Amino acid sequence: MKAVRARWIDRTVGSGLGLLSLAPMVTVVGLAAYLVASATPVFRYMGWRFFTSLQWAIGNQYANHAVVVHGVKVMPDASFGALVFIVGTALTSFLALIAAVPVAFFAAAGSGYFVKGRIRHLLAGLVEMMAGIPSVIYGLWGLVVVAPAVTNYIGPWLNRVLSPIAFLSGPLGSETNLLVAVIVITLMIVPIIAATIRAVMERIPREMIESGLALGWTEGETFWRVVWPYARSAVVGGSILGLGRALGETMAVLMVSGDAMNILPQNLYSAIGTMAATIAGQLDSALTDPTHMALHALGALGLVLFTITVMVNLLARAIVKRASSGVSLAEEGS
Amino acid sequence: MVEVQTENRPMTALRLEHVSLTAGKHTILDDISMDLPDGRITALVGPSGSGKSSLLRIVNRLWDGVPRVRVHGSVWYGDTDLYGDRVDVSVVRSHIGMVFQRPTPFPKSIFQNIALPLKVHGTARSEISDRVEAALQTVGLWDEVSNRLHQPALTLSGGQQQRLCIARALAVEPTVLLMDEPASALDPKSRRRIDELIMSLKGTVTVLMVTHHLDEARHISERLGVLVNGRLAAFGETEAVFASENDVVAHYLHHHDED
Repeated sequence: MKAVRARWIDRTVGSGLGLLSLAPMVTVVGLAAYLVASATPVFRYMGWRFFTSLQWAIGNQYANHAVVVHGVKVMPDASFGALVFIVGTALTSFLALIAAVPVAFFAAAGSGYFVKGRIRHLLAGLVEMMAGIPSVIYGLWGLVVVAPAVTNYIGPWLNRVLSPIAFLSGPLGSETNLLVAVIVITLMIVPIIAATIRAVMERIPREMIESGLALGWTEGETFWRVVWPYARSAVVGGSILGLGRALGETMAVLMVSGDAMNILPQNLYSAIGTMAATIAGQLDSALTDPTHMALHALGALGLVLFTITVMVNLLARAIVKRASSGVSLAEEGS
Repeated sequence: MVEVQTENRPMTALRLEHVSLTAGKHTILDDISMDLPDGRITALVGPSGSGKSSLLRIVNRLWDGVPRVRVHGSVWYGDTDLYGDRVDVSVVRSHIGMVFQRPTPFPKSIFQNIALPLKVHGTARSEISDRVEAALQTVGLWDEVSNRLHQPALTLSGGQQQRLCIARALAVEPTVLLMDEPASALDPKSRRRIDELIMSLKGTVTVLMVTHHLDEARHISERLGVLVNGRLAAFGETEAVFASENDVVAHYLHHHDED
């Protein structure tokens, strides 16, 4: 009788768990459905101009009536152009990635290979701790410490050093700007890139590294010839994971980006707007729109962000999986 | 084969003198002294955990830079103490090669696995191809891989990969070759091939081989060391050690269950 009951329990628990495992898929599909529903009227109203227009305005809230354009009810003179935010998101994310990869590489090489003894654990722990710091704290620090430092020291210095290059030099548009946002995001994504590289490095069998050393190679030579070929593919995978994180970063960017609207950045020191920060920052204002179109427009921004991040994360996981299987080959000896 | 112990004493390639290994307060190896006859095969056996692999790694200074681990005593290579001041570790390791328990081919082509160490060693570019071929011939791999030298080394079988690693170690012409259970991760047929390969090295390279296969040790080696709990319980000509009446040694050699 006990066996019968055990099997019943197994089946019930199994079905329950099976149902629960559908939850992530339901969530993702549900979110996507909401975003598409939200964005549809916006696309109908703006057409392709959603992606090409610089104008973001929720319309004249003091007008007497809403108007109907292309079958969609909006306040007069509303325009929902996402170009500024798409450019801002792309710029901050890619610039942060370019800065973060070398830093993460050194952190990983140091904490995973070159630095020995107790300092190694300390270094690895510190890098991981960086990932745990809430983004609002990065934002606050960025606003109070980094932004003035950029205005007073880093900006002028970079201007002197890089002056012929138009985008990297020029007048300071705003104390909170692209450069400050890039600095803050870089620090936030270094841990995930470093962790990905380090994970692959740590799976390399110790005897593989000893084989290099045993040939008379220095630690550095052994690193480049034995460790790097494996770590290399993790750099790509880790970068894309970091990119995914950077794309969605909201709070810190909101605090240090300058909340630009309707204008594209002239140089590193211009204020910018990103999709994520704009959704958060414009929410209050959007709620005042009686037609709700402003809110739908934020959802449309969300749809673009959602699509990009999902694709980037899928790509990252595929690449990281391939990197790890490369190391497995080494472990088994084919 | 019994070694004659009178005027024809073989030259010593390597001599360990009162070598100990400590990790913090813990002693791994205690007062080991032994000499390896030039061009001969010396085997090192003992129960698991007795410190055999650790001892091997002392000879080519692989314990350098490992935190809290210290090597005491001297390792004499000719009249140089490998642990003396001003000894360049890279030079030491270019004279003393090592092969590991698991095959460790680099993630490169078969050719590059041997060519790269040669290049770093300073071999003239024009000679590299010939030296690679010679090394592969020595380990009996040439016929099997000559038509696919530029394929990844990881496409070889386990036994082939291990022979490749031996070829790689031999290519830079070391005088001493350290082997840490080189055949234990392989199937029996590959194991026998590797054993024959090692025996063929007699006269050209001095071999110090760790193994837990006692029949292999007896078959291949001319000198034998038995390491128990970090101490050298016996060391001498293989047959003499196997005939030893010492309790500990005899127990291990004759009542020990091999896997």
